[in-house]
Amino acid sequence: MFNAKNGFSEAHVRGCQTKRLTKQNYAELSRCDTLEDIKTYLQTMSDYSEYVRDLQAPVRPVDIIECCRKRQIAEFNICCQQASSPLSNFLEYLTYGYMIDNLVLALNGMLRGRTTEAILEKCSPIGFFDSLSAVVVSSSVQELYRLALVDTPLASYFSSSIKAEDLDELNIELIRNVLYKEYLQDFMVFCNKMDQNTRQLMEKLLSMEADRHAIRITLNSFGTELSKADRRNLYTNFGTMYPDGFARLANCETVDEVKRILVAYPEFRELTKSDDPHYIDRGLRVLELEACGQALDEQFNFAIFYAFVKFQENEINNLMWLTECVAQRQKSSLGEGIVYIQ
Amino acid sequence: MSSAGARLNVTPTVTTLAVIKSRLAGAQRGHRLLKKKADALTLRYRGILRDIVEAKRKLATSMRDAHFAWTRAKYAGGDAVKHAVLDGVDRANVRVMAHEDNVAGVKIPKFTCRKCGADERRMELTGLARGGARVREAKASYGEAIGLLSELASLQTAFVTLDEAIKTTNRRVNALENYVTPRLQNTVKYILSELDELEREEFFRLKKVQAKKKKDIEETEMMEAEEEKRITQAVDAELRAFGDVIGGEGGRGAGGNLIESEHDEDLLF
Repeated sequence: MFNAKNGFSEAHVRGCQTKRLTKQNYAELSRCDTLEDIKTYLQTMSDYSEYVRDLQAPVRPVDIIECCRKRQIAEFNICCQQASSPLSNFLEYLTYGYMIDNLVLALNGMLRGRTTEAILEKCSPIGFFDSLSAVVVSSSVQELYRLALVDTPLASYFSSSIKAEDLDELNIELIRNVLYKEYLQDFMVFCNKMDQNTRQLMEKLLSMEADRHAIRITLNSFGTELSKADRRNLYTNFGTMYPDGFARLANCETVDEVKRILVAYPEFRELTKSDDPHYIDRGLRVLELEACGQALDEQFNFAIFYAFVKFQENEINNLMWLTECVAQRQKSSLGEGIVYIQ
Repeated sequence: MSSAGARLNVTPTVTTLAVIKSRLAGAQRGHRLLKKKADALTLRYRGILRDIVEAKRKLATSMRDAHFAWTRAKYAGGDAVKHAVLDGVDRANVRVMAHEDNVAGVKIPKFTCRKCGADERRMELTGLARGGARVREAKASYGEAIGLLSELASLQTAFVTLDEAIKTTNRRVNALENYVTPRLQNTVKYILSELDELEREEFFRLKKVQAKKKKDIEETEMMEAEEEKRITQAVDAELRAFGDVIGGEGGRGAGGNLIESEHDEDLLF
């Protein structure tokens, strides 16, 4: 039944997944000394050949990242084109995160009076929606909602959480995170309506994402004027740490306090072992990838698509880090940014 | 630069000599002062050179760190954070102020960085969920790099300005030493020699005049003597004639004319 409808997409995803860069690829890439070497390696030894082939010298890190994005979008689009409901709905949900980023970009551009073209250029194609350009020309929140958002899935997130007075410059990041929170919660509700397999896996993955979201907001809000009530407001209403852990996170003032909370959760205990405050962030990334890897081990579920997108993102991030390190001759730091699982 | 005998074109008089001498003294004093200034500038120049090398080294590492911190932020925050940061800025947060520093009379521009904290608050939440801490680190790192950059900028500007000033001063010192002073000295020499010459001429002229005067006096005396002789002779002749009238031609006796010497015919009525 699953295979009849979604078999092709799943096969495509698994096919793409086998072509991911492996530990050995990364090790060999780490030995490259110039971006040209990286390009040559990607062209000959990886699945990126058709994307990096036309890169003109001198190669810049952004060029390579651009190629990765193109590949990501192409792979994702094949999935979308083959999908039928409910997989197509699920894939749409995956794009909402990008949509939120685009919307925030457009809002920022609107407040700064940038031109429509300039804003649309920056937007991610995955999260593109037709009325995005209308965001830029709207002048008030009501208009924004009526013109641009009412037809998009973001409308319900927006109307339930954002008030007109919130839309000033300081709060634009808050809006992003509130929308993201609403999105995660909505995604969770959506996943609960799916089949057993998908529901179980996605619950795990989304809980992880919710925890990650909360922990990162907490860590990043130290030293800013984000109030504790506002911070609490950005946490989701589910997650491994919900509700007790989130309530305690909301009151944290230092990294050590966060660590003390995390120790209580077995899956996060590893994160508290380093003194580097950024170790937690990296550790969360690894945990997420591990969870995604486990999802890929299962069959007949939609979580593999979620995992697939995360792996794509991770590979882009890795290559970004790798190319930047090579370009800036900081190869000693290579290890701190490349994250992969076997 | 100047040939050995070059001098000013002046009329060699005592007044000019005084003027030129005072100019020479002025030039020598100026030379001493400028030499001191050049030394002071060179001292500062070398110091700045040292500072520049140090600042450049520091800046190289600082810039690399800052750039890498931004890479970390991009890594942690994804592409969205880049746009969020770029869009979040509409006014420069760091202003560079220029003011003047004075080294031995040379005005050197000096730049200092000043933060106007207007935008501090708004950017605070950038990357709240992704990489916010990294963004702040990158910001601090770049702030440091900008401070160094402006420091280096003022050093470099000072370097160029001082270089120019030192060149000008050295040119002036050399001009005074090799051109103005020798010319003035030559002029003084020339005037002195001219004055000596004049003096000698004057002496010679005086001698000539005296000789001439002497000669004139002698001539006059001679003439006077001759005249006297002539007068004496004339007187003698007169006297002789008179003696003739009285005694010599006794024929005319008493009736003889005292005034006319010739024989006066007797008149018959």
